[in-house]
Amino acid sequence: MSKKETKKFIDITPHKSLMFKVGQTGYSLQEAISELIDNSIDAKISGKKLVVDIKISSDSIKITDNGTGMSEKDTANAIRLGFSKKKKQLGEFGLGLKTASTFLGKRFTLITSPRGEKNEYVITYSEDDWIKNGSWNCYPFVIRHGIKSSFSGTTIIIENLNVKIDNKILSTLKEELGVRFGPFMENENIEIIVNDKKSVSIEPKILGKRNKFKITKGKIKISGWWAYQLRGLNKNYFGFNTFRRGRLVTTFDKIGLSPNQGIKQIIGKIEIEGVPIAHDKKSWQNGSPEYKIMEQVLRSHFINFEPKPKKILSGYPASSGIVEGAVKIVGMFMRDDIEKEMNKVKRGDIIVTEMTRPHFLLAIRRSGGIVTDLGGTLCHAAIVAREFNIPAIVGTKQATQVLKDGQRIIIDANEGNIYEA
Amino acid sequence: MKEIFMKHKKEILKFPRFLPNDLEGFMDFYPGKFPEIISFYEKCAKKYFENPKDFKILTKDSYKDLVIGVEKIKKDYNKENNNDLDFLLLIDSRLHKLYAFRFWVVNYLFADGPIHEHYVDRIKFYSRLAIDAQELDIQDYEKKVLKVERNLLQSDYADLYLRFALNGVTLMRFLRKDKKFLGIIKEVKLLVEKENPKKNNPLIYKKLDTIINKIDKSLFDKELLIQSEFRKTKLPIYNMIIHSIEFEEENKKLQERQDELKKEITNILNFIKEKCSKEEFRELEISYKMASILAESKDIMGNIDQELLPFWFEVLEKIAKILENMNTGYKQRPIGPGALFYSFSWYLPDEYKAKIFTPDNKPFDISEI
Repeated sequence: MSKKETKKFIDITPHKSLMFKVGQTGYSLQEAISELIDNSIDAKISGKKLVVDIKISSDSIKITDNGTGMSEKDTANAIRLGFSKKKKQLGEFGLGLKTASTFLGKRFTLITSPRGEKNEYVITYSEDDWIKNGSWNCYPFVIRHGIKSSFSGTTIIIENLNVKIDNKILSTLKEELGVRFGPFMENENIEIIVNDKKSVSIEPKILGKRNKFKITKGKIKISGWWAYQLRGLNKNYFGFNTFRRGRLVTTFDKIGLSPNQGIKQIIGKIEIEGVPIAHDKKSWQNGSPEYKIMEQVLRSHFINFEPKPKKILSGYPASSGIVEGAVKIVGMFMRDDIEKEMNKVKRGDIIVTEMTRPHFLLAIRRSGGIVTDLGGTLCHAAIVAREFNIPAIVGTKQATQVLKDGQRIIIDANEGNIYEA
Repeated sequence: MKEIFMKHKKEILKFPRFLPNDLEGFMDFYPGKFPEIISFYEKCAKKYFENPKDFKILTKDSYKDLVIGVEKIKKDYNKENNNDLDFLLLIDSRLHKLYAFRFWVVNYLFADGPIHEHYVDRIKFYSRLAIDAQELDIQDYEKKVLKVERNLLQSDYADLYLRFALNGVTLMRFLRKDKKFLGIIKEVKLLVEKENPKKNNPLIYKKLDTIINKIDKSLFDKELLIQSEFRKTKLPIYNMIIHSIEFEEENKKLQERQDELKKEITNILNFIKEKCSKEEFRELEISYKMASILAESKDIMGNIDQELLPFWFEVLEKIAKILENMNTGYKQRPIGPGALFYSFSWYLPDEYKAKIFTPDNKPFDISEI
């Protein structure tokens, strides 16, 4: 082998397609929009209500906030990949704006007016123009003058959408925003408006009751409640909303919990004393000895409560969703008056049957879910369940034998599994 | 491709050997007891295989015969008021013959059998053309294909469940215009929320009578009125109104979803049309229509359950009691009429066994049922 070598320098300027490839990260519409709202929340003016106004149509998405806005330098940095000054804030990686916006559409415009300045800064990105004429070190930047200095805020307009907007997706979005930003809306004077309708905080659906608890270890005091919830649209929306002196510090904090909780997850609200927080008051100082003690204390407390639901049956997932309820065995062969038979099913019960028949209508509308012995993804139960948006698992072969009337179960109709509740 | 398809066609038009979901073992029972059913089905299969319009007529005619047949057999049963084993077994076998030729053929042999499977396969095949595979990874591609498949197989046909729910939207819009009706709606809603139907349903029905008696019947889905007339009760109408009140908001969303699904299906079909030949698109259209009408046929046939099943079980209950009194050791199980036949037949006296197990070779004729 020759010992001679030549060292030279090569150009590794990123290919221009990197700008939009970063957006191809398997986002959902709601995740991408949440990413942009995160930026707005980071820009909230202390003591002032933050209003995030989102307008979504089939052609464009527009997100406006009345936050601090960005200075000329910050605006210029906003288009740079990976640049961020934020530490431990919601948008700390400096990618959110680009990834989310290029995921949502082929063109976006950022308009921002910083607090106390009479200027407005505008950056426009267009995938086609960027590929044809764009340059990493010569990006167009517009400064508009004569803006009222009392006004501040940021607007992002995304056009040439890559995502399809329909009513279903809009209602999923509203639900997700209600869950994701609920704690902020309730505790942080933040309002989110989607297509002129105020978004409401969605409380997690709790299984059973809230368990109050109090732990003291030296100076550290933790108190609050915890409960179980079923895994929702986003697997990561579990854990604690943590507070210090009544003020929200973190949301969905997994402190003391296993990161993968499966179908049944722990949620709660805790007030913490004696643990230092970061200077921006948006996170705990997780390197501090107090934080580590708190983590240990919570871990040893919750290890006994971490849920491990036992899988009982499986079948074909026919209509998605996860739900918990009491089993109601309904025979496909009705022997009595139909109304009497079907009235046995109460709201939220899980209908367990050999096969559904058309006369099940009365019961199906009230049920929380359907499990059948027979059938595939195109059977009557599957079609009707999808029609009415009810979680259903079909073709389990033995649900009517294995499950008992009144037994509480969880059905995970995304995966086709049935668990003991 | 056409040649392969033609060869395949011959196979799927034959009487099947197995059926999925044959919970009651009809695949052994009916061809054995009524051998004519094999040729009857095969004739129907040939005639209606690619003919969704005529298959709908077959479904409606079969249902009509079912209604006539059940009423006729019920009338004889009530007239005779005879509790002899001989008579009850005759009623049971008449019901089976009617059920085999007029229910089982449409509801199971067509709607669950090889013809249904064939059309589902074709729709799945064409669904792949609805997605542009370029720039998609394989997982994304398969996910999108599955969505198209589900939309096409769900079809824009609104089954009876959905039709009644959508009918509820129109009805509520009308009722909400009248102050009197608004009051009733509020009261009914409160009673429904108490979830005590045994106590509250009579009260609810009384309140709903005020609405039913005052409004034009054309506000109700035709099928609902037919059901009510057939069962000689207002219960189906009461239930529809209760559901319209209870699920008012959900029903509005269902209406939106149904409208969107219709649009989505039109877009999918138009997209595929651009990508395949005229002949292929015709095949897709027939497949889509047939899959949809096969789903609809189950809906239509299922209406008979409410009238037929309680009556049939009453007959079977009587047979079971006789056998129990004869100390045969027979115990009834909670299963359907077909499976019950196999369950009690072992305990019958020999002369009856011979009778019920003798094949009935006479072709089906509704006037002779």
